[in-house]
Amino acid sequence: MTSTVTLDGVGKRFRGTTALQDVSLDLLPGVTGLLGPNGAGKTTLLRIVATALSPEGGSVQVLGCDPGDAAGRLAIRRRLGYLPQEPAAFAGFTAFAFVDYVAVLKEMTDRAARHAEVRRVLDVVGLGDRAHTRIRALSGGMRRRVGFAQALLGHPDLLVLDEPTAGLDPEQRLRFREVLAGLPPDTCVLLSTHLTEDVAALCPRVVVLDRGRVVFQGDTTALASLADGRVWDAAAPDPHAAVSWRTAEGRIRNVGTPPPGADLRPAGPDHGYLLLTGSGAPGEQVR
Amino acid sequence: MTAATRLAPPAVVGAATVRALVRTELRRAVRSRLLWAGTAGSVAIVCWFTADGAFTEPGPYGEHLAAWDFPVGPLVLTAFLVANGAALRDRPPPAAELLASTPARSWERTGAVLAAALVPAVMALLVLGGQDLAVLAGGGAVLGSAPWVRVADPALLELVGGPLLVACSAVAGVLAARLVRSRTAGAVLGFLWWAVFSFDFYTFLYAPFGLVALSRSSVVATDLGGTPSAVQLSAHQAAGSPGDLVPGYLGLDRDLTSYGLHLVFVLGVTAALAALALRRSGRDPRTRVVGAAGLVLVVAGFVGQLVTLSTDLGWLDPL
Repeated sequence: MTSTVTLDGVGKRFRGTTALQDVSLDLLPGVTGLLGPNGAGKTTLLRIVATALSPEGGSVQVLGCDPGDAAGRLAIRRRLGYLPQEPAAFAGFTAFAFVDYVAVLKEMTDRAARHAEVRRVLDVVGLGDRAHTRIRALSGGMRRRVGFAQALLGHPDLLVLDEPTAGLDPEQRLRFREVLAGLPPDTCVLLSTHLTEDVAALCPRVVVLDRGRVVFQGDTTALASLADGRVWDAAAPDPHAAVSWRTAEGRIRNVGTPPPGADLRPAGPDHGYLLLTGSGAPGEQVR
Repeated sequence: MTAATRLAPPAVVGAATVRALVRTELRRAVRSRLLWAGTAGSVAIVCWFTADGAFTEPGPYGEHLAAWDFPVGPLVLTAFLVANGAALRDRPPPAAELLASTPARSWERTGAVLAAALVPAVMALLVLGGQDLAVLAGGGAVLGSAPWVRVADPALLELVGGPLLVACSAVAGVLAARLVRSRTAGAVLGFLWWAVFSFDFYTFLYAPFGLVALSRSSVVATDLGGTPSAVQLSAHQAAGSPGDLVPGYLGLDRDLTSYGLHLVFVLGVTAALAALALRRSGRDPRTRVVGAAGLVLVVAGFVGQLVTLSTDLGWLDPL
């Protein structure tokens, strides 16, 4: 399968702070989750893929084009949908007017067809009945959905979504998953999130960033298997664990190097993620 | 040129997208409540002037025509603010990222917002058109004070200055947004811009300020001193007698030629400001064309005024 996005040795610094360092990865069609702690460089990576930011080193190929030259950048943007981390300002616009404005910027010049497309994407995100409400009057979750709607305009081949489920209620998160599941299989989706359950539910593949470096890239099941035999429950926090927390059942779940005879539990992607990005020093605890 | 370069796809969006973007900005400007509030303020001043007989009764300084564009003051302010706000849609940064990921560049977005300056300009044209009709219904505009009075109908050319000033104000609002990326700073700059025009416009009655003002009337004032001769007074179309602000007599002339050239100057300033705003929005060869045209018009308008003015340039004396 051909990569939709290829990064090779990409770096980026901001005022002396390294945001990305020697990042190399391939994104295939389908949904790829981007996990990482705060400050790991996820948003910087997404901005580079979305052509909103130029890398300082390495090479980037998106949809077969080089974002470094103007023609390549334009070709990419014509096939790209991007949802930034925070809902855009545009408070004085109605949801319809905002999405319509972005549609114009995306070269949808036929007014009737454009309006039909705007109505379609607003319906997709469940805001068809709020289309003419001003954005300032919408809740944070609804604004997020308006942002998602504009990213869906024109059936993009590449969707770059920065924490798309932040602020969504459980029902809307399910709706979001349905929308992603309904996308054509050749659409490449790169979504960053803090929620490993989103990754488990949505993403066949996952990339884990930590301190600007890719520390894992592969199947979600492979991420989970990193923690095979390294998750156990105990009555108290275990000094051998890298991270520990209290479960709903009142037990202490530990991830790390289990002691002999530990009560091992099934590993999930979140456990693998914690092993990759947790403190790493046994004995430190996350509650 | 090789076949490859001939066939290379253009790196910018097509004209149809730019047209759609311009239409969108025009629609947003037409629906702007702030612009309509400015229009209402301008209409209110026209009504006040009309009821007061400001243009149809004699007065000492010739302000009757000097204040011709004064009613568009509220539109000057609101056009600046609305254009500034439209150009600052890419604030805060996440909005900029979103917009930057679309095919249309900042240059095209800025160009469309600049084109929307047409909307407040048309509003100003309608307001001043109404003023024209009111003056015509009142028997014409009176210039000067008795007995050195001249009555004339407003010329169509005199209808252009106000709308051009308002368009220039909107363009300045866009440029302010491209220089200072803050809505608060934009509001302060807009107020200062408006204050210079609205409170200081008398300055522009006199040379050399009148030549480089963004708004002046077709009336050219000449200082005749405290005891002008009958020959001096009769050399002008009308004259103003001494008053509170001006100690001497003023010779007053409507000079439509130099006024027309002044409009060329203002058009040039508007184009130059637009070019600066476009330059701040990214590289595009068309920016140079706009900037060069603006500079040519500025020079032509200024030099043309100097050459064609039918009075000496010692206008500072009345101040």
